[in-house]
Amino acid sequence: MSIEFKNVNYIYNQGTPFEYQGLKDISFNLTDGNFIAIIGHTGSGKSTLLQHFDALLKPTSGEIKLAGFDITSKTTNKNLKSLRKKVGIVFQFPENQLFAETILKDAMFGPLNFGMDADLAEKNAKKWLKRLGIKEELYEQSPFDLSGGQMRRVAIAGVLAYEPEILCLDEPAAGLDPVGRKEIMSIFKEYQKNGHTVILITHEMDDVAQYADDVLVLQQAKLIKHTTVADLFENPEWLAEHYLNQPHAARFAQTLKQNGFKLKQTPLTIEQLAKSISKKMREYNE
Amino acid sequence: MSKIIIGRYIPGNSIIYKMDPRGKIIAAFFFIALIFLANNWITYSLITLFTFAAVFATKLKIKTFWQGVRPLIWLILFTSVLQLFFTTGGKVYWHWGILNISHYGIENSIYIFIRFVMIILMSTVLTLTTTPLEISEGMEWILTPLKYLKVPIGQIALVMSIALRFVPTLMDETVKIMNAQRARGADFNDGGLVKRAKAIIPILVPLFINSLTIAIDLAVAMESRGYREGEKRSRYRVLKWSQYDWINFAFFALLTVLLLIFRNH
Amino acid sequence: MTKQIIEVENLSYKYKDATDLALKNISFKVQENQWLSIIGHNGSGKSTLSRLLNGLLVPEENPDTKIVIDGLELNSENLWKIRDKIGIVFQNPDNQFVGTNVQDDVAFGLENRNVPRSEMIKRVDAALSAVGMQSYKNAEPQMLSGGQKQRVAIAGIIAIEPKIIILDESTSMLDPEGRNSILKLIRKLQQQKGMTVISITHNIEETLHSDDILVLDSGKKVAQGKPEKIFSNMEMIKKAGLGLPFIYELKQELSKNGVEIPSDVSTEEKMVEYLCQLNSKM
Repeated sequence: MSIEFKNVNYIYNQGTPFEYQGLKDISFNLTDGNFIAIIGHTGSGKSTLLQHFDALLKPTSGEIKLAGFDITSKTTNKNLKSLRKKVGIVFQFPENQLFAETILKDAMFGPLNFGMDADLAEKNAKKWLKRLGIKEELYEQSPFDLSGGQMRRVAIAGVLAYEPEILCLDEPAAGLDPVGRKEIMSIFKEYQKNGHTVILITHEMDDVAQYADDVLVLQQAKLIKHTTVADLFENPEWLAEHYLNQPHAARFAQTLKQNGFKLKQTPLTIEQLAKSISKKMREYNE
Repeated sequence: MSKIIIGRYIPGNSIIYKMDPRGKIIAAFFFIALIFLANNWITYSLITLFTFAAVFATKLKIKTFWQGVRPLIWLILFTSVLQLFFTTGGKVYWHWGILNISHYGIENSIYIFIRFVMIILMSTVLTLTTTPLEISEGMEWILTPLKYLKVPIGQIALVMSIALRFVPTLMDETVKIMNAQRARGADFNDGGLVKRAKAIIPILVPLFINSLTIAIDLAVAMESRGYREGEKRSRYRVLKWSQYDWINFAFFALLTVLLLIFRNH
Repeated sequence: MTKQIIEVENLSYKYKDATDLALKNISFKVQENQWLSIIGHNGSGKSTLSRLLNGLLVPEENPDTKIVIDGLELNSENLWKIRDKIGIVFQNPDNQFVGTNVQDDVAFGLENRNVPRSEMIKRVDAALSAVGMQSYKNAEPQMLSGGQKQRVAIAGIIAIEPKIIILDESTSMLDPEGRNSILKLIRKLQQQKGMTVISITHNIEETLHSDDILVLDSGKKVAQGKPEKIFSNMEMIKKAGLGLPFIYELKQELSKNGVEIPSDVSTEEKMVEYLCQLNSKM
């Protein structure tokens, strides 16, 4: 099974003076179980695309197939619950969606809506709150007494608590400190490795390099590239043309190269960079 | 929701856009008074012609105006029909119990219909071509005399302009929250009244909390930018009369004179 | 000779209803025209500090506490004079945009100071061109990107001509493009106008260019010094819950692979130079 978009168009405010096109003729196929990054500039259509995975927006024309569902312009709002149970979305700044009196109740909101019985919902909510580092003695407290970073974690736990097959993330680590960012991203990576599909919108190329398998590049509502991470960053000219960055390690290797220090492969992470630098130095020393 | 046109501004650059909001507001109110001068076919035709001229002068699509009238059309028709059946006088064409259709009834119901539609069209001309902020500033100027009654017009105007500034932000916020809760399986259109009312809580609570955050942030930013309550402030935005406003007033003066000449005395 | 522009002594602060102090006995100094970065993990007290500097918050009662800004001691008498000297760019681009459009927002601070309209027009224009937003004069906030809104916020500040600009996590909600352009802009303004910059940030990379770094951990000052000094103390950085800049992480990784880099190689430029030199010798 896979995720398939076929000629998907989306038009905002159709038939009003405020009409504009959010997605233009988007087609792609994603393999289940992969970690997919969606990149592109602000306003390129990333968030619009993400809302289609959950049928929060339905294509104006075209067809989407995922998790056993067909979504077209004619899809009605009935039966969408079972789709949304399978496709979870963590929106940007998800801490803004918390509402319940206690942290635990908020994390149980999704599971209960999707028909889990109360015991299982509680068990799942607790499991994910714990995994996200929320201390047990806080579960009965109001989420609004937490710091922003902790509220973010509660909101993420609230989505993971129904363990969606496909997990969509819209810049989940924006505004977090570097340590918190790493913690959260590694939780998502682990979730993918345990047999789920993860789709991540991000501006951070270092995260793309470190966590993703495949990349979708959007520009002005169009899909301009669908490829593997290694392939994407192998081509710095193309990236520069589209005002996209390389990961920090690759950028550094590029500067080294321009100054006469050539590495065999473009390193994507700091570990790879350090390895190839030291390897090269050892080769010379021998 | 995005199809409701009353009270909405659509950017444009026809002559009406260039008129001062104070002039437009005064003119719109004056128009309502003028309508009551009309009392025969000629004067109602004048009013209708004048309104359509204003509508065309905006250079906006006629469809947009129809969208403005449409939500009220049943109410207007209902009122007209009441007039039709309950007005007596002149030749009676039909009669049943207390209901009758008379000459005056037909005339009156048509007049009422025209009156309503023209008032809606003219106020739509105002709101489509004037930003809410301009309307608020125009109103502020019109209400300036209240200053002498110790009404803090300046502060009310600042509050109004900030409120208007944050309408789109809060609309965005609402959509985001609704989407987030929908994604978590919330259903807003399902079940009975109680269930639906309960379903609103996950939207209202975050919306309230987020508005509070915005308000606090905004107060902090305003204070650090030197805002002091009750202190004298200068004004950057000023309204200026231009030749377009004289054109505006000239047309209304002409209409007034014509109405006074042609109405039944 | 540089002049001392900020002096803080024994500053503590506790939020109402909180049990712990948000800031514990902080003292530091800033020289004029310097760039000070204040770093610390989420909730370390960084933003509290910025709000104490311009009197938005009032410190805990203590006779030894002193905040002096450009020779003026912060007290209720000098409060508004001090607010003329400090401009703060806050984190959320939307929540500090007071005006209905760009030029109105820039004028807000001037209106508050009762500046005559003819003068305002000049200053708004000058401030907007200094931040490169003159063509957006009439744009409404919802038509602007986060980075553009922060530019407008900066224009609103420089219109008042303050001596100090505080960036209170001002780039944390922006995309990398917006973030870089804002930092570049501030650097330019710092040089052109001789402003002092205090940047409260998570962005470790950005702090490498600062003159001075102050590290906060749970409300306490744990270190202050030049970037080289701060980031060579990995123990402390780790304890404060912070990450290392790219160049220091690379050095660490290289050392794991048996390549030791001298400690004076502390920027990416120096590292490139160092490696290429080695390369040419080999």
